[in-house]
Amino acid sequence: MADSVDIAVLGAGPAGMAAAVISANAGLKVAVLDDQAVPGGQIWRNVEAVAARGDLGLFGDDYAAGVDAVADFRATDVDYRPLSRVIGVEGADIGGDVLYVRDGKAGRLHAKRLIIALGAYERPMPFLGWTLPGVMTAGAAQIALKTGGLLPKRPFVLAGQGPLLLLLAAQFRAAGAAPDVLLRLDDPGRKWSAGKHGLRALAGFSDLLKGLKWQRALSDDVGKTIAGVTQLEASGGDRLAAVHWQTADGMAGEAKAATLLVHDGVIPNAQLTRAMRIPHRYDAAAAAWSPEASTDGQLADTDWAYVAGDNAGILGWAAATATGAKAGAAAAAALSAKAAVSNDVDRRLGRARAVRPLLDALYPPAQAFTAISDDTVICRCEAIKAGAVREALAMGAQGPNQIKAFLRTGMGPCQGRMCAYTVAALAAEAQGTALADTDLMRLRMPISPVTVAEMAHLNETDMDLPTA
Amino acid sequence: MLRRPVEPEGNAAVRLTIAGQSVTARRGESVATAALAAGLQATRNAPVSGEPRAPYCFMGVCFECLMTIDGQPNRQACLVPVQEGMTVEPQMQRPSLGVSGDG
Repeated sequence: MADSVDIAVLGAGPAGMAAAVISANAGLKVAVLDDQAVPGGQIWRNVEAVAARGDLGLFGDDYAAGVDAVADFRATDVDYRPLSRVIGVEGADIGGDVLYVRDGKAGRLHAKRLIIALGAYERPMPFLGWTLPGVMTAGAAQIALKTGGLLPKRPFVLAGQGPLLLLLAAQFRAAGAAPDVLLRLDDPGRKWSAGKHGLRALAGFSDLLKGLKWQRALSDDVGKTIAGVTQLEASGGDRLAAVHWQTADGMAGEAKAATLLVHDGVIPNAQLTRAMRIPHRYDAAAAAWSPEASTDGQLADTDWAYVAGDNAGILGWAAATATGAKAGAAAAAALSAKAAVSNDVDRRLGRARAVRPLLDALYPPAQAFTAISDDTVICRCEAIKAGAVREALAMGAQGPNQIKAFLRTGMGPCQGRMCAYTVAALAAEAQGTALADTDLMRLRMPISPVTVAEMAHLNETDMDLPTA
Repeated sequence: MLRRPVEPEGNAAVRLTIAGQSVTARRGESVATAALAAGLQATRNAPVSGEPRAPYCFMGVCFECLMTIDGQPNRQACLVPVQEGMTVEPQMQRPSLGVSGDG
């Protein structure tokens, strides 16, 4: 018998859980597919276990908020399927199918409505030496701390920009591992030009206070802080040995390092919506592409699929719980079920939207004012350097799709997750066009590598198929 | 690189073998974090350039953590929770089909 539900939710972070809770409480049959082993997404990663071991205090109030959200989710009768990797979606006249892999077997789940809440990931930040073992994202180290209780080895350099960088620095400090060197890649000149958004941002006063608290915590324990960094390089043989930098006013410096954590903000994880051929829009303020959708999250050009949370555009977890609830309620209403949306939803969303222009103006991607050198690997999977991409463009490659055909950028296992933005930026640079007028490389399903043995389980059959 | 300040004990401890070495990891963490905490420098060599690589994102995005887990190659070690008795190997060889004459 076909596996079928009213609503399939992809992702068990703040948005996915909120969507699932509201539609399940409306009496609908709901399944949630998530690639992690426990609910919470990245922001609330492993929150149940961290609470149980008494470590919530390390991560602050925003993380602790996940305890109740996960408990509410667990209290529903949602068909929760952890460790499930979505490989694609097939639309049909009435609803569609989600294709996914769980436990070595591909499966097909039919749903009348689909809510996509696959979150965000850190903007890839290419610089010389970023492929060396010892270099990873700050978010990666945070995951290692939340799950394994692991800390960065010293000497430890933290480099990047954005509000999350400050939060992460505060969390590592609380865990007893303050960075030895903090390299700030935010543009100090921005503080003044961002001022015009300040008044509007007052609506999100408590968020602003939080930022000030993190800033203060930072100045306490960090060994050395360098502001205005515009060039970053990691060096070493088989692994990271040193970090080198240069500032806007021409000061150069270097430090020995066992660990370099980098962070350049976050971007929507739009792999699935892009592979679905939903139109995507470049938001210049956020410097990111996001899928076009209605205010309820219904995706453009579809009658059954919705997007919610940071997958729809970066607004943070509080807004994600709101957009998740809105998408869940809209999908439920489309199936003639009545969902109870709390009055609080629009207030939460409004507050997050009020702060965002100030944050976007304060923290543009570091890549907006740092140049990528020709020798920098931009496609990690295929080890392709920026110089090769520039050469292809000079030879007449028309854009990301043709660069892909020339060089294989985006054709490795990550399928362009790490290089798509950089390739688009290099194309725009060469062609003198705005990023908004440059397409990202085209994606096709499956959106994640899948083995033939896994695929063999897709067709219903009585045969006993191998699971490995 | 990462270090483990406190060894997990009791129910939180999971024993597995990584690169031939018996290690203790914390229940709920991934094979990828356990590998780095066990002192592994690289989880694989890049198939194209041969350079050593290690996990970059720990959340299923970068695919740098592809490892052989219980005999199955190319698994995203950051998406596989540690389990008692697991055997994990880094992928330091260039890929081959393993048939005679394959270079």
